[in-house]
Amino acid sequence: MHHFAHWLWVVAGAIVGYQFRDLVTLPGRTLVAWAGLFAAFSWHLPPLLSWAETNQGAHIFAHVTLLVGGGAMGWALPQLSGARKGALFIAANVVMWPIVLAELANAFVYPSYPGQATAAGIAELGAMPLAWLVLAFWGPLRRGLARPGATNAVQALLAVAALVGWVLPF
Amino acid sequence: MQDRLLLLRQLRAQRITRIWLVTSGLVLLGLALAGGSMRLAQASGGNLFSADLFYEVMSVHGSGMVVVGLMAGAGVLWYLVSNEIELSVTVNRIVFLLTLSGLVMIVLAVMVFGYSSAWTFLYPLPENPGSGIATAAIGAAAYLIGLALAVVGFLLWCLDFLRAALKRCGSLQRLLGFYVFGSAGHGHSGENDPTTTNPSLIAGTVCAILGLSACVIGSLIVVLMLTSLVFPSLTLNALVAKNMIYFTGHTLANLQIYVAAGIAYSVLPLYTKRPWRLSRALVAGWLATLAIVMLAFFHHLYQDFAQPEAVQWVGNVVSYAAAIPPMTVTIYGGLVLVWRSGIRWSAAPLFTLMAMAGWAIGGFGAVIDSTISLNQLFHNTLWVPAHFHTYMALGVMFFLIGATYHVIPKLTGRQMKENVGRRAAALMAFGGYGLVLCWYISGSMSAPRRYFYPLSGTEVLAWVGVACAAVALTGAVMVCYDLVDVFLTSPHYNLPKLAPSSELAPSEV
Repeated sequence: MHHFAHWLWVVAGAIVGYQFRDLVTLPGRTLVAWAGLFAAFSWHLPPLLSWAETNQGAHIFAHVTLLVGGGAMGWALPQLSGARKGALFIAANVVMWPIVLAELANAFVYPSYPGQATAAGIAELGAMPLAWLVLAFWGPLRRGLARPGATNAVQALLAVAALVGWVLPF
Repeated sequence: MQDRLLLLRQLRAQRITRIWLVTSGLVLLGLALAGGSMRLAQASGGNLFSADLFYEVMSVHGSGMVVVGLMAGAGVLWYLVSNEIELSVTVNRIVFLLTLSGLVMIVLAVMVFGYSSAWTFLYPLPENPGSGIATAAIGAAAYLIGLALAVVGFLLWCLDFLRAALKRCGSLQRLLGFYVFGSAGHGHSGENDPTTTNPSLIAGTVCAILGLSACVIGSLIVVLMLTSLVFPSLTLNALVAKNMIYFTGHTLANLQIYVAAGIAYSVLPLYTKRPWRLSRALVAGWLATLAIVMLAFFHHLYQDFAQPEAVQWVGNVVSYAAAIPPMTVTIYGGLVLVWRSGIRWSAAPLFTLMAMAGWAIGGFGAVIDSTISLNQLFHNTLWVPAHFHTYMALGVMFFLIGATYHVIPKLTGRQMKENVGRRAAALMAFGGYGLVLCWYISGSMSAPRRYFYPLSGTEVLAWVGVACAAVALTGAVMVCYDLVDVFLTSPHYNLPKLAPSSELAPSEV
């Protein structure tokens, strides 16, 4: 549950960042988007992961980084060209694979949350094909989510799930 | 000036494709002969050469075939789509050099340093082989470096393809043809729209995306294993290493046939005089391939009890599901394209259609083996080389030979001999199917693969297999001889006809 919350923090950050896409106008959106992607992934790599597991301060900082990384992507992505969005999407897909394979084989250890690595790997294995389906049917999905009721419900659901995932002890 | 630049680019593209074709043809023939000698050694009961040499030949044959089969296909697809997207000739040259140097390193590792752990270089086997060869560590390092060079070569190919294709279509959704799902084509304004995609581009893009993932993980595991070789105190998690190796190996071997499908989309319509249209079924099929095909590699790890059980089921289900898109889209689509088209059965479409048969039959053999309960019986038996030779030797190679017959006139201004091609097709089909049939039967009798001696009771099948291999190799030699003959007798370039400026593709302007 806690591991899923990591991704939900990224999504929550992206939702917040998206609200500022037109309000904050700064150069270098491509760089910011890639930095956001790096921030979202970096805490899943062994050295940083171990540090975050053993140090409470680092753990909190990791969560903040996930939020900020998501926010950076949410702010920068809408203004990027289609080709640049495509490159980012492909890169995210590629980078996920080593993480998933390591989690599946239980190579990443979350001492505070035993048994989560494998479960996370399997869940991400399901999420990755789903991401391609979302990309393929993004047009109809976007139209569906554009209704205020739907968009508020989804955002509330994600926010609650992120908080629950963070608070729950498993 | 613009016309001259275009001409220069086309000539450079021709030259590098010629180099790819002739090099690949000769190397593939050499590797096929090595494979044949391996079978002969096995049938002779170990009298032809030693067990050590057998495993060395096996390592070169397996690794070389996967590398050259994939890269030759990538080289041909590159040429076929280079008029539609602005691919870099320089990158293609670098890819060629990396592949060639990688191959040389692999051959050196095997022939000089005695590396013989095959492409399935499971940690920590390469540096600790059972044979106790003194140069094992150097051999393993040389092999891993050779493999890394080839993998980085394909990585560059993938990146260049994605760059050029995204540049043309403007977005990943358009490139993959997702606009066909929209009611009005999702902004699709017809075939004259320069950002419109086509089946070959979709196939190439899917291969490039899948290839990128495989190459990144492949490079990572090679670097980790090399580090472990230099610093033995660094130990790796063997299960992660195995997952990474099979993820890369299975995906890259599998990609050969998908690259070849991209070639077929370009070649076959020219002979049937019917376009291979972009349809919802085709786009959905490739979307499914993109989404799930990388999950199929888990079927290699059914015997690994430490693997989570859930992913074993994922491997089984996805292996079944991955067979559906090619069957319904490419193979069925190809048959519909040919049906009552009045096609003239020259060598190019003949080999292409035969390749689809090999893909379907070999794919079915693979699906059988991916069934968990049957895998308990067929795992590491001769059933495995039987099914992958069916869709590699009688699938991928036939696609490549068909494409060679198609592109040679464009590259050299000369035709390869049609009667030689048709005879070679008959020999290769007869010999090839005879060979794999012997393996299928031997495999179902539990004859182990990668084993120096034939299982008791399968000796006759081993000899029949050798005879069939000799027939198939005769066909391969005929095609290669004809290919080299055309290259030797043709000029060094074939001046393409320049299109009027107004008709130039946007990517070339």
